[in-house]
Amino acid sequence: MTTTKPYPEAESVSATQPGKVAETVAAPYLTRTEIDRGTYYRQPAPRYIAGLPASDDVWNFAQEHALAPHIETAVRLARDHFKKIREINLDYMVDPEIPNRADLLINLHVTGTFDELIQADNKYVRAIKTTIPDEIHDKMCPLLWGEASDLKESSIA
Amino acid sequence: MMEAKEFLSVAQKLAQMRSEASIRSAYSRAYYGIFNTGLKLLNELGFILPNDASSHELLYQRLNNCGIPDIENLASRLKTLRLKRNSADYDMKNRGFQSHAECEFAIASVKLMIAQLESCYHQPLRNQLKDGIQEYERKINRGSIASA
Repeated sequence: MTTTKPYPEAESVSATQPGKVAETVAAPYLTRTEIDRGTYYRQPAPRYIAGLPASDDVWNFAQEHALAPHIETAVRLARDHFKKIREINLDYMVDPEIPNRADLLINLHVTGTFDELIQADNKYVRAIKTTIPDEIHDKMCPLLWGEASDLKESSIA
Repeated sequence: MMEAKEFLSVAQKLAQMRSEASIRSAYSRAYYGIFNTGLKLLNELGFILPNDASSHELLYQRLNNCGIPDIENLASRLKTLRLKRNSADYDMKNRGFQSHAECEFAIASVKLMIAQLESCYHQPLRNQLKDGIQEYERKINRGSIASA
């Protein structure tokens, strides 16, 4: 037969703080997971639209105007029309000169020959115009940043 | 009177300097090259836009709704160039103005756009553009009268 040994009674209890546990005792029992979880709650998880990181400004503007599905469409169309895309990212810009105007920007960094890029851009612009409603197109804008492999400085003089 | 497209040769010289400040300035000059070319064209066709910041948007809207697909595409490029120019002139945190090659592409695109707008001085494009913009203005005037 085994007997259990009772925990010792507290030697003294503060009359003013009966439930108080000394911090020096409690601190070592915090696990790494709990510390990590505390960090997690303080910093929201990164958010994505069309698989692209969205800053708070981008996210809030997209939510406010229900742009997310249209951004996905614009990004998909970009991938359909441009052969070589180096990078796509999202940005948000308040117009510094026109009151109450802001745009969500889809920056498309693409490469190709000058003619390829211009032709692809023409088709892309038409596709955007026919697929995305005007009122939405007014709030988001794909920006083409082209690097033409055949463009020499002398050719644009 | 200075021709707006003269801004393009300045833009090109700036781009060739290859510093971020000169590349940003090149985008700005290139935009004003096409913007003022567009304003002048509409002026010639009898459409007078206000001499303030609203003219950027009003020019874009008229070209974007003129019913000529190539000119509507041009309007989209005009808009994107203005957004780049805003960023170049106002957003010092933007790191997108370090590529000389991208700036050269933008200037070459503007050169094409100016040639496109200049072709609208000739028939039959001239009348098509004028009729298209008049039709657009009638629509928005009807809309504004209906909502008043």
